[in-house]
Amino acid sequence: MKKVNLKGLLLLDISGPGAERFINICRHHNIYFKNIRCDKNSFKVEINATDFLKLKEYIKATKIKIRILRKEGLPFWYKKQKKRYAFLVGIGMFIFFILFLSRFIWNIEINGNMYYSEETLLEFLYTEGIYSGAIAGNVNEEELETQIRRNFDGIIWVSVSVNGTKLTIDVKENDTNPLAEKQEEPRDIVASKDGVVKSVLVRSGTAIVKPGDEVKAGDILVTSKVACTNESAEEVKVVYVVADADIVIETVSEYKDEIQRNYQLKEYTGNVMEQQLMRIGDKFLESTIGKCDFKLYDVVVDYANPGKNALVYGYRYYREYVLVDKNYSNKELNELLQENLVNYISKLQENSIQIIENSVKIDVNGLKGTASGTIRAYEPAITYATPIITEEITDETEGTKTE
Amino acid sequence: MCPPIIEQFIENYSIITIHGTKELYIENFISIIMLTENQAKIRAKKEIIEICGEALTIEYLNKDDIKLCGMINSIKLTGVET
Repeated sequence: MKKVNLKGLLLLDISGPGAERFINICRHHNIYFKNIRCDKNSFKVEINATDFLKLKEYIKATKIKIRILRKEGLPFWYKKQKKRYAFLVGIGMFIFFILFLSRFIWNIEINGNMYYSEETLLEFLYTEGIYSGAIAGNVNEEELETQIRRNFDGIIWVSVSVNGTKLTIDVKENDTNPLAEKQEEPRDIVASKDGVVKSVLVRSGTAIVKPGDEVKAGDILVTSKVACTNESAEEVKVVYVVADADIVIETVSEYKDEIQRNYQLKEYTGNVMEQQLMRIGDKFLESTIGKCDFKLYDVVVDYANPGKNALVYGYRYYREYVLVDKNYSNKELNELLQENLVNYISKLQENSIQIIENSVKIDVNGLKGTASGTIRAYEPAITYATPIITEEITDETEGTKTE
Repeated sequence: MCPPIIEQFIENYSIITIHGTKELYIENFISIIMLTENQAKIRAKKEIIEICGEALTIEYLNKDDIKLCGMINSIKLTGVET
Protein backbone atom coordinates (compact mmCIF):
# COMPACT_ATOMS: atom_id res chain seq x y z
CA MET A 1 0.00 0.00 0.00
CA LYS A 2 1.33 3.39 -0.95
CA LYS A 3 2.17 5.56 2.03
CA VAL A 4 0.36 8.91 2.13
CA ASN A 5 2.84 11.75 2.43
CA LEU A 6 1.36 14.19 4.89
CA LYS A 7 3.96 16.91 4.36
CA GLY A 8 3.94 16.76 0.57
CA LEU A 9 6.69 15.60 -1.76
CA LEU A 10 8.10 17.19 -4.91
CA LEU A 11 9.96 15.50 -7.72
CA LEU A 12 12.44 18.04 -9.14
CA ASP A 13 14.59 18.17 -12.21
CA ILE A 14 17.87 20.01 -11.48
CA SER A 15 20.00 20.97 -14.43
CA GLY A 16 23.10 23.08 -14.81
CA PRO A 17 26.82 22.69 -14.21
CA GLY A 18 26.62 23.38 -10.48
CA ALA A 19 24.04 20.74 -9.64
CA GLU A 20 26.37 18.72 -7.38
CA ARG A 21 27.47 21.90 -5.64
CA PHE A 22 23.84 22.86 -5.13
CA ILE A 23 23.11 19.50 -3.49
CA ASN A 24 26.14 19.90 -1.22
CA ILE A 25 25.17 23.44 -0.20
CA CYS A 26 21.63 22.36 0.57
CA ARG A 27 22.97 19.50 2.66
CA HIS A 28 25.09 21.90 4.69
CA HIS A 29 21.97 23.93 5.37
CA ASN A 30 20.03 20.84 6.50
CA ILE A 31 18.00 20.50 3.34
CA TYR A 32 18.16 16.88 2.31
CA PHE A 33 17.24 15.32 -0.99
CA LYS A 34 16.18 11.73 -1.55
CA ASN A 35 16.49 9.35 -4.48
CA ILE A 36 19.03 11.43 -6.38
CA ARG A 37 19.71 9.96 -9.80
CA CYS A 38 21.44 11.30 -12.82
CA ASP A 39 19.37 11.40 -15.96
CA LYS A 40 21.38 12.58 -19.00
CA ASN A 41 22.37 16.16 -18.10
CA SER A 42 20.17 16.66 -15.12
CA PHE A 43 19.38 15.24 -11.71
CA LYS A 44 16.05 13.94 -10.63
CA VAL A 45 15.59 14.43 -6.89
CA GLU A 46 12.82 14.23 -4.35
CA ILE A 47 12.37 16.85 -1.64
CA ASN A 48 9.84 17.66 1.04
CA ALA A 49 7.45 20.46 0.07
CA THR A 50 8.39 22.52 3.12
CA ASP A 51 12.12 22.38 2.23
CA PHE A 52 11.45 23.44 -1.33
CA LEU A 53 10.59 26.97 -0.21
CA LYS A 54 14.08 27.35 1.35
CA LEU A 55 15.91 26.64 -1.92
CA LYS A 56 15.52 30.06 -3.54
CA GLU A 57 18.78 31.70 -2.50
CA TYR A 58 20.87 28.59 -3.19
CA ILE A 59 19.42 28.34 -6.70
CA LYS A 60 20.58 31.89 -7.37
CA ALA A 61 24.02 31.21 -5.96
CA THR A 62 24.68 28.09 -8.03
CA LYS A 63 22.85 29.29 -11.16
CA ILE A 64 21.06 26.05 -11.76
CA LYS A 65 17.60 25.50 -13.20
CA ILE A 66 14.89 23.71 -11.34
CA ARG A 67 11.73 22.26 -12.81
CA ILE A 68 8.97 20.65 -10.78
CA LEU A 69 8.05 17.34 -12.38
CA ARG A 70 5.50 16.01 -9.95
CA LYS A 71 3.73 17.01 -6.75
CA GLU A 72 2.27 14.49 -4.40
CA GLY A 73 1.04 14.29 -0.81
CA LEU A 74 -1.75 15.72 1.30
CA PRO A 75 -1.08 19.48 0.90
CA PHE A 76 -1.26 19.27 -2.90
CA TRP A 77 -4.27 16.99 -2.79
CA TYR A 78 -6.02 19.43 -0.48
CA LYS A 79 -5.24 22.33 -2.79
CA LYS A 80 -6.67 20.41 -5.73
CA GLN A 81 -9.82 19.52 -3.81
CA LYS A 82 -10.32 23.04 -2.50
CA LYS A 83 -12.74 23.92 -5.30
CA ARG A 84 -14.85 20.85 -4.66
CA TYR A 85 -16.68 22.33 -1.69
CA ALA A 86 -19.42 19.71 -1.50
CA PHE A 87 -16.84 16.93 -1.32
CA LEU A 88 -14.92 18.65 1.46
CA VAL A 89 -18.12 19.49 3.32
CA GLY A 90 -19.09 15.83 2.97
CA ILE A 91 -15.82 14.68 4.48
CA GLY A 92 -16.18 17.24 7.25
CA MET A 93 -19.73 16.11 7.98
CA PHE A 94 -18.68 12.48 7.90
CA ILE A 95 -15.99 13.13 10.50
CA PHE A 96 -18.38 15.24 12.54
CA PHE A 97 -21.09 12.58 12.53
CA ILE A 98 -18.67 9.81 13.35
CA LEU A 99 -17.39 11.79 16.32
CA PHE A 100 -20.88 12.90 17.32
CA LEU A 101 -22.51 9.49 17.03
CA SER A 102 -19.68 7.75 18.83
CA ARG A 103 -20.82 9.56 21.96
CA PHE A 104 -23.93 7.40 22.11
CA ILE A 105 -24.62 3.79 22.94
CA TRP A 106 -25.87 1.94 19.89
CA ASN A 107 -25.58 -1.65 20.96
CA ILE A 108 -26.44 -3.31 24.25
CA GLU A 109 -25.19 -6.85 24.78
CA ILE A 110 -26.31 -8.92 27.73
CA ASN A 111 -24.48 -12.16 28.49
CA GLY A 112 -25.03 -14.90 31.02
CA ASN A 113 -28.75 -14.37 31.65
CA MET A 114 -30.87 -17.51 31.76
CA TYR A 115 -33.74 -16.78 34.07
CA TYR A 116 -34.21 -13.08 33.37
CA SER A 117 -34.95 -12.53 29.71
CA GLU A 118 -33.06 -9.96 27.69
CA GLU A 119 -36.30 -8.01 27.24
CA THR A 120 -36.78 -7.80 31.02
CA LEU A 121 -33.27 -6.49 31.53
CA LEU A 122 -33.55 -4.06 28.60
CA GLU A 123 -36.85 -2.84 30.03
CA PHE A 124 -35.11 -2.19 33.34
CA LEU A 125 -32.21 -0.43 31.64
CA TYR A 126 -34.74 1.74 29.81
CA THR A 127 -36.21 2.87 33.12
CA GLU A 128 -32.67 3.72 34.20
CA GLY A 129 -32.29 5.91 31.11
CA ILE A 130 -30.03 3.49 29.27
CA TYR A 131 -31.13 2.40 25.83
CA SER A 132 -29.80 2.28 22.35
CA GLY A 133 -29.24 5.95 21.60
CA ALA A 134 -28.50 7.08 25.16
CA ILE A 135 -25.39 9.18 25.79
CA ALA A 136 -22.51 6.88 26.68
CA GLY A 137 -21.07 9.43 29.12
CA ASN A 138 -24.20 9.23 31.26
CA VAL A 139 -23.66 5.56 32.03
CA ASN A 140 -22.30 5.21 35.54
CA GLU A 141 -21.06 1.65 35.39
CA GLU A 142 -20.71 1.08 39.12
CA GLU A 143 -24.08 2.66 39.88
CA LEU A 144 -25.74 0.55 37.19
CA GLU A 145 -24.18 -2.63 38.56
CA THR A 146 -25.55 -1.78 42.00
CA GLN A 147 -29.01 -1.04 40.60
CA ILE A 148 -29.14 -4.32 38.68
CA ARG A 149 -28.12 -6.33 41.73
CA ARG A 150 -30.63 -4.46 43.87
CA ASN A 151 -33.54 -4.97 41.49
CA PHE A 152 -32.88 -8.54 40.43
CA ASP A 153 -32.47 -10.84 43.43
CA GLY A 154 -31.50 -13.75 41.21
CA ILE A 155 -28.45 -11.94 39.83
CA ILE A 156 -25.53 -12.55 42.12
CA TRP A 157 -22.79 -10.93 40.03
CA VAL A 158 -22.88 -8.27 37.34
CA SER A 159 -20.29 -6.43 35.31
CA VAL A 160 -21.07 -3.39 33.17
CA SER A 161 -18.61 -2.03 30.66
CA VAL A 162 -18.82 0.53 27.89
CA ASN A 163 -16.54 -0.07 24.94
CA GLY A 164 -16.97 2.62 22.34
CA THR A 165 -20.64 2.58 21.44
CA LYS A 166 -21.29 -0.84 22.90
CA LEU A 167 -22.59 -1.48 26.40
CA THR A 168 -21.81 -4.98 27.62
CA ILE A 169 -23.53 -6.40 30.66
CA ASP A 170 -22.29 -9.74 31.95
CA VAL A 171 -24.40 -11.32 34.64
CA LYS A 172 -24.26 -14.45 36.74
CA GLU A 173 -27.52 -15.74 38.08
CA ASN A 174 -28.26 -17.75 41.16
CA ASP A 175 -28.93 -21.39 40.29
CA THR A 176 -32.07 -21.58 42.43
CA ASN A 177 -35.28 -20.02 41.17
CA PRO A 178 -35.13 -16.51 42.59
CA LEU A 179 -38.81 -15.89 42.13
CA ALA A 180 -39.97 -18.96 43.99
CA GLU A 181 -42.18 -17.62 46.71
CA LYS A 182 -41.32 -18.70 50.14
CA GLN A 183 -44.58 -19.73 51.73
CA GLU A 184 -44.76 -18.88 55.37
CA GLU A 185 -48.49 -18.85 56.15
CA PRO A 186 -49.99 -22.25 57.09
CA ARG A 187 -51.91 -23.93 54.27
CA ASP A 188 -53.82 -27.12 53.55
CA ILE A 189 -53.60 -29.22 50.45
CA VAL A 190 -57.00 -29.84 48.85
CA ALA A 191 -58.09 -31.84 45.82
CA SER A 192 -58.75 -29.82 42.69
CA LYS A 193 -60.61 -32.65 40.91
CA ASP A 194 -62.73 -35.68 41.76
CA GLY A 195 -60.88 -38.98 41.71
CA VAL A 196 -59.16 -41.76 43.58
CA VAL A 197 -55.94 -41.17 45.47
CA LYS A 198 -53.09 -43.10 43.88
CA SER A 199 -50.20 -42.17 46.14
CA VAL A 200 -49.43 -39.82 49.01
CA LEU A 201 -45.99 -38.64 50.05
CA VAL A 202 -46.15 -36.05 52.81
CA ARG A 203 -43.21 -33.86 53.66
CA SER A 204 -44.98 -31.48 55.96
CA GLY A 205 -48.46 -31.62 57.52
CA THR A 206 -50.84 -34.45 58.36
CA ALA A 207 -52.28 -36.68 55.64
CA ILE A 208 -56.06 -37.06 55.79
CA VAL A 209 -56.31 -39.47 52.85
CA LYS A 210 -54.52 -42.65 51.92
CA PRO A 211 -54.05 -44.43 48.60
CA GLY A 212 -57.32 -45.87 47.33
CA ASP A 213 -59.52 -43.20 48.94
CA GLU A 214 -62.07 -41.55 46.76
CA VAL A 215 -61.94 -37.75 46.92
CA LYS A 216 -64.03 -34.92 45.58
CA ALA A 217 -62.82 -31.51 44.45
CA GLY A 218 -62.28 -29.33 47.51
CA ASP A 219 -61.63 -32.18 49.94
CA ILE A 220 -58.69 -31.65 52.25
CA LEU A 221 -55.94 -34.14 51.43
CA VAL A 222 -53.19 -32.97 53.76
CA THR A 223 -53.98 -30.67 56.62
CA SER A 224 -51.63 -28.08 58.01
CA LYS A 225 -52.59 -29.05 61.52
CA VAL A 226 -49.97 -31.19 63.23
CA ALA A 227 -50.53 -32.58 66.69
CA CYS A 228 -47.46 -33.05 68.86
CA THR A 229 -47.67 -35.92 71.26
CA ASN A 230 -45.66 -36.93 74.28
CA GLU A 231 -44.23 -40.33 75.08
CA SER A 232 -47.66 -41.61 76.15
CA ALA A 233 -49.14 -40.60 72.80
CA GLU A 234 -51.12 -37.81 74.40
CA GLU A 235 -51.62 -34.64 72.48
CA VAL A 236 -49.68 -31.88 74.15
CA LYS A 237 -49.91 -29.10 71.62
CA VAL A 238 -51.04 -28.30 68.08
CA VAL A 239 -49.08 -26.42 65.47
CA TYR A 240 -50.06 -25.25 62.01
CA VAL A 241 -47.51 -25.73 59.28
CA VAL A 242 -47.20 -25.23 55.56
CA ALA A 243 -48.52 -28.53 54.19
CA ASP A 244 -46.25 -29.99 51.56
CA ALA A 245 -46.80 -33.33 49.83
CA ASP A 246 -46.67 -35.20 46.53
CA ILE A 247 -50.14 -36.54 45.85
CA VAL A 248 -51.22 -38.32 42.72
CA ILE A 249 -54.93 -38.71 42.00
CA GLU A 250 -56.49 -40.89 39.36
CA THR A 251 -58.96 -38.65 37.56
CA VAL A 252 -61.40 -39.01 34.73
CA SER A 253 -61.77 -35.96 32.50
CA GLU A 254 -64.35 -35.32 29.84
CA TYR A 255 -62.98 -34.45 26.41
CA LYS A 256 -65.09 -32.83 23.74
CA ASP A 257 -64.03 -31.25 20.48
CA GLU A 258 -66.15 -30.16 17.55
CA ILE A 259 -65.24 -28.90 14.07
CA GLN A 260 -67.83 -27.63 11.57
CA ARG A 261 -67.57 -29.13 8.11
CA ASN A 262 -67.89 -25.79 6.30
CA TYR A 263 -65.29 -23.11 6.96
CA GLN A 264 -63.90 -19.96 5.45
CA LEU A 265 -60.40 -20.09 4.07
CA LYS A 266 -58.16 -17.04 3.71
CA GLU A 267 -56.87 -16.99 0.19
CA TYR A 268 -54.16 -14.41 -0.31
CA THR A 269 -54.54 -12.54 -3.57
CA GLY A 270 -50.83 -11.78 -3.73
CA ASN A 271 -51.43 -8.01 -3.48
CA VAL A 272 -49.08 -6.61 -0.88
CA MET A 273 -48.77 -2.97 0.10
CA GLU A 274 -45.85 -1.77 2.11
CA GLN A 275 -45.66 1.29 4.28
CA GLN A 276 -42.55 2.67 5.88
CA LEU A 277 -42.64 3.48 9.53
CA MET A 278 -40.21 4.99 11.94
CA ARG A 279 -40.24 5.56 15.66
CA ILE A 280 -38.14 8.28 17.25
CA GLY A 281 -38.29 7.98 21.01
CA ASP A 282 -41.97 7.29 21.70
CA LYS A 283 -43.33 8.98 18.59
CA PHE A 284 -44.31 7.05 15.50
CA LEU A 285 -43.78 8.57 12.09
CA GLU A 286 -45.69 6.80 9.38
CA SER A 287 -45.68 7.43 5.72
CA THR A 288 -49.18 8.52 4.74
CA ILE A 289 -48.48 7.97 1.06
CA GLY A 290 -50.51 5.13 -0.36
CA LYS A 291 -53.04 4.32 2.37
CA CYS A 292 -54.22 0.74 2.28
CA ASP A 293 -57.55 0.36 0.48
CA PHE A 294 -57.84 -3.42 0.72
CA LYS A 295 -61.12 -4.68 2.13
CA LEU A 296 -59.64 -7.64 3.97
CA TYR A 297 -56.00 -7.78 4.83
CA ASP A 298 -53.41 -9.04 7.29
CA VAL A 299 -50.91 -6.63 8.73
CA VAL A 300 -47.32 -7.72 9.23
CA VAL A 301 -44.90 -5.32 10.91
CA ASP A 302 -41.25 -5.94 10.32
CA TYR A 303 -38.80 -3.85 12.33
CA ALA A 304 -35.26 -3.67 11.06
CA ASN A 305 -33.92 -3.10 14.57
CA PRO A 306 -36.45 -4.27 17.15
CA GLY A 307 -35.96 -3.50 20.81
CA LYS A 308 -35.59 -0.46 22.97
CA ASN A 309 -33.84 1.76 20.52
CA ALA A 310 -34.01 5.51 20.18
CA LEU A 311 -34.62 5.13 16.48
CA VAL A 312 -36.62 2.21 15.22
CA TYR A 313 -37.54 1.81 11.59
CA GLY A 314 -39.18 -0.84 9.53
CA TYR A 315 -42.04 -1.72 7.21
CA ARG A 316 -45.70 -2.51 7.64
CA TYR A 317 -46.99 -4.94 5.05
CA TYR A 318 -50.67 -5.23 4.16
CA ARG A 319 -51.44 -8.58 2.59
CA GLU A 320 -54.82 -8.72 0.89
CA TYR A 321 -56.94 -11.84 1.14
CA VAL A 322 -60.42 -13.01 0.27
CA LEU A 323 -62.56 -15.44 2.23
CA VAL A 324 -63.55 -18.55 0.34
CA ASP A 325 -66.23 -20.97 1.59
CA LYS A 326 -64.87 -24.51 1.76
CA ASN A 327 -65.88 -27.87 3.19
CA TYR A 328 -63.67 -30.36 4.97
CA SER A 329 -63.75 -33.89 3.66
CA ASN A 330 -64.38 -36.75 6.11
CA LYS A 331 -60.70 -37.60 6.06
CA GLU A 332 -59.68 -34.02 6.77
CA LEU A 333 -62.15 -33.75 9.66
CA ASN A 334 -60.84 -36.99 11.12
CA GLU A 335 -57.26 -35.83 10.82
CA LEU A 336 -58.00 -32.43 12.39
CA LEU A 337 -59.87 -33.94 15.34
CA GLN A 338 -57.12 -36.51 15.79
CA GLU A 339 -54.47 -33.76 15.69
CA ASN A 340 -56.33 -31.68 18.28
CA LEU A 341 -56.58 -34.70 20.57
CA VAL A 342 -52.88 -35.48 20.23
CA ASN A 343 -52.03 -31.85 21.03
CA TYR A 344 -54.31 -31.92 24.06
CA ILE A 345 -52.70 -35.10 25.36
CA SER A 346 -49.20 -33.71 24.72
CA LYS A 347 -50.04 -30.63 26.76
CA LEU A 348 -51.30 -32.82 29.61
CA GLN A 349 -48.11 -34.88 29.52
CA GLU A 350 -46.02 -31.71 29.60
CA ASN A 351 -47.73 -30.91 32.91
CA SER A 352 -46.64 -34.23 34.47
CA ILE A 353 -49.99 -35.88 33.81
CA GLN A 354 -49.77 -39.57 32.99
CA ILE A 355 -52.54 -40.80 30.64
CA ILE A 356 -53.66 -44.32 31.52
CA GLU A 357 -56.76 -44.63 29.38
CA ASN A 358 -58.07 -42.72 26.42
CA SER A 359 -61.61 -43.54 25.31
CA VAL A 360 -62.24 -40.63 22.98
CA LYS A 361 -64.26 -41.52 19.89
CA ILE A 362 -64.39 -39.51 16.69
CA ASP A 363 -67.70 -39.22 14.90
CA VAL A 364 -68.13 -37.44 11.56
CA ASN A 365 -71.55 -36.59 10.18
CA GLY A 366 -72.87 -34.37 7.41
CA LEU A 367 -72.45 -31.04 9.21
CA LYS A 368 -69.60 -31.52 11.63
CA GLY A 369 -67.03 -33.80 13.19
CA THR A 370 -67.07 -34.50 16.90
CA ALA A 371 -64.51 -36.06 19.20
CA SER A 372 -65.85 -36.96 22.64
CA GLY A 373 -65.03 -39.33 25.43
CA THR A 374 -63.09 -39.54 28.65
CA ILE A 375 -59.45 -39.50 29.51
CA ARG A 376 -58.30 -41.35 32.59
CA ALA A 377 -55.05 -40.06 34.01
CA TYR A 378 -52.78 -39.90 37.02
CA GLU A 379 -52.21 -36.29 37.91
CA PRO A 380 -51.19 -34.12 40.86
CA ALA A 381 -54.69 -32.62 41.02
CA ILE A 382 -54.12 -30.50 44.09
CA THR A 383 -54.51 -26.92 45.13
CA TYR A 384 -53.93 -25.02 48.32
CA ALA A 385 -56.32 -23.51 50.85
CA THR A 386 -55.92 -21.46 53.96
CA PRO A 387 -56.84 -23.53 57.01
CA ILE A 388 -59.44 -22.50 59.56
CA ILE A 389 -57.36 -22.18 62.68
CA THR A 390 -59.41 -22.88 65.77
CA GLU A 391 -56.64 -23.35 68.26
CA GLU A 392 -53.87 -21.03 69.23
CA ILE A 393 -50.56 -21.67 67.55
CA THR A 394 -48.28 -22.66 70.31
CA ASP A 395 -45.16 -23.42 68.34
CA GLU A 396 -43.91 -22.30 64.98
CA THR A 397 -41.74 -25.35 64.54
CA GLU A 398 -42.83 -27.51 61.61
CA GLY A 399 -43.92 -30.99 62.52
CA THR A 400 -44.03 -33.83 60.04
CA LYS A 401 -45.99 -36.95 59.60
CA THR A 402 -45.38 -39.24 56.72
CA GLU A 403 -47.61 -41.95 55.36
CA MET B 1 30.17 7.93 25.78
CA CYS B 2 32.90 6.80 23.38
CA PRO B 3 36.48 6.38 24.62
CA PRO B 4 38.74 9.26 23.39
CA ILE B 5 40.59 7.11 20.86
CA ILE B 6 37.35 5.96 19.16
CA GLU B 7 35.96 9.49 19.22
CA GLN B 8 39.09 10.72 17.50
CA PHE B 9 38.78 7.92 14.91
CA ILE B 10 35.17 8.82 14.17
CA GLU B 11 36.09 12.46 13.67
CA ASN B 12 39.06 11.83 11.40
CA TYR B 13 38.03 8.88 9.26
CA SER B 14 35.11 7.85 7.12
CA ILE B 15 33.49 4.45 7.46
CA ILE B 16 32.53 2.69 4.27
CA THR B 17 30.09 -0.20 4.45
CA ILE B 18 29.16 -2.22 1.40
CA HIS B 19 26.27 -4.69 1.25
CA GLY B 20 26.86 -7.06 -1.63
CA THR B 21 26.99 -5.17 -4.88
CA LYS B 22 23.76 -3.25 -4.40
CA GLU B 23 24.23 -0.86 -1.50
CA LEU B 24 26.99 1.30 -0.16
CA TYR B 25 26.99 3.41 3.02
CA ILE B 26 29.52 6.08 3.74
CA GLU B 27 29.62 7.67 7.15
CA ASN B 28 31.42 10.97 7.72
CA PHE B 29 31.49 12.02 4.11
CA ILE B 30 32.28 15.58 3.07
CA SER B 31 30.56 16.20 -0.24
CA ILE B 32 29.45 14.85 -3.58
CA ILE B 33 32.00 15.63 -6.27
CA MET B 34 30.28 14.03 -9.19
CA LEU B 35 27.28 11.84 -9.90
CA THR B 36 26.37 10.21 -13.18
CA GLU B 37 24.47 7.07 -13.98
CA ASN B 38 27.67 4.99 -14.09
CA GLN B 39 30.05 6.84 -11.83
CA ALA B 40 29.98 8.64 -8.51
CA LYS B 41 32.77 10.48 -6.72
CA ILE B 42 32.34 11.20 -3.04
CA ARG B 43 34.78 13.20 -0.95
CA ALA B 44 35.34 11.48 2.36
CA LYS B 45 37.45 12.67 5.32
CA LYS B 46 40.85 11.66 3.98
CA GLU B 47 40.14 10.22 0.56
CA ILE B 48 38.04 10.41 -2.53
CA ILE B 49 35.82 7.41 -3.11
CA GLU B 50 35.20 6.64 -6.73
CA ILE B 51 32.38 4.22 -7.41
CA CYS B 52 31.77 2.71 -10.81
CA GLY B 53 28.65 0.80 -11.66
CA GLU B 54 25.26 0.96 -13.31
CA ALA B 55 22.10 2.93 -12.45
CA LEU B 56 23.73 4.59 -9.47
CA THR B 57 21.31 6.46 -7.24
CA ILE B 58 21.71 8.30 -3.97
CA GLU B 59 18.83 6.91 -1.98
CA TYR B 60 19.26 9.37 0.84
CA LEU B 61 21.81 11.67 2.35
CA ASN B 62 22.04 13.76 5.47
CA LYS B 63 24.68 15.78 7.25
CA ASP B 64 27.09 12.85 7.78
CA ASP B 65 25.84 9.80 5.90
CA ILE B 66 25.07 8.87 2.37
CA LYS B 67 23.58 5.71 0.90
CA LEU B 68 24.18 4.72 -2.69
CA CYS B 69 22.20 2.09 -4.50
CA GLY B 70 22.59 0.45 -7.86
CA MET B 71 24.80 -2.17 -9.42
CA ILE B 72 28.29 -1.49 -7.99
CA ASN B 73 31.16 -2.80 -10.08
CA SER B 74 34.18 -1.21 -8.41
CA ILE B 75 35.21 1.11 -5.61
CA LYS B 76 38.43 3.03 -5.79
CA LEU B 77 40.01 5.17 -3.10
CA THR B 78 42.25 7.98 -4.27
CA GLY B 79 44.11 10.85 -2.67
CA VAL B 80 44.71 8.92 0.54
CA GLU B 81 46.53 10.90 3.19
CA THR B 82 48.86 8.91 5.42
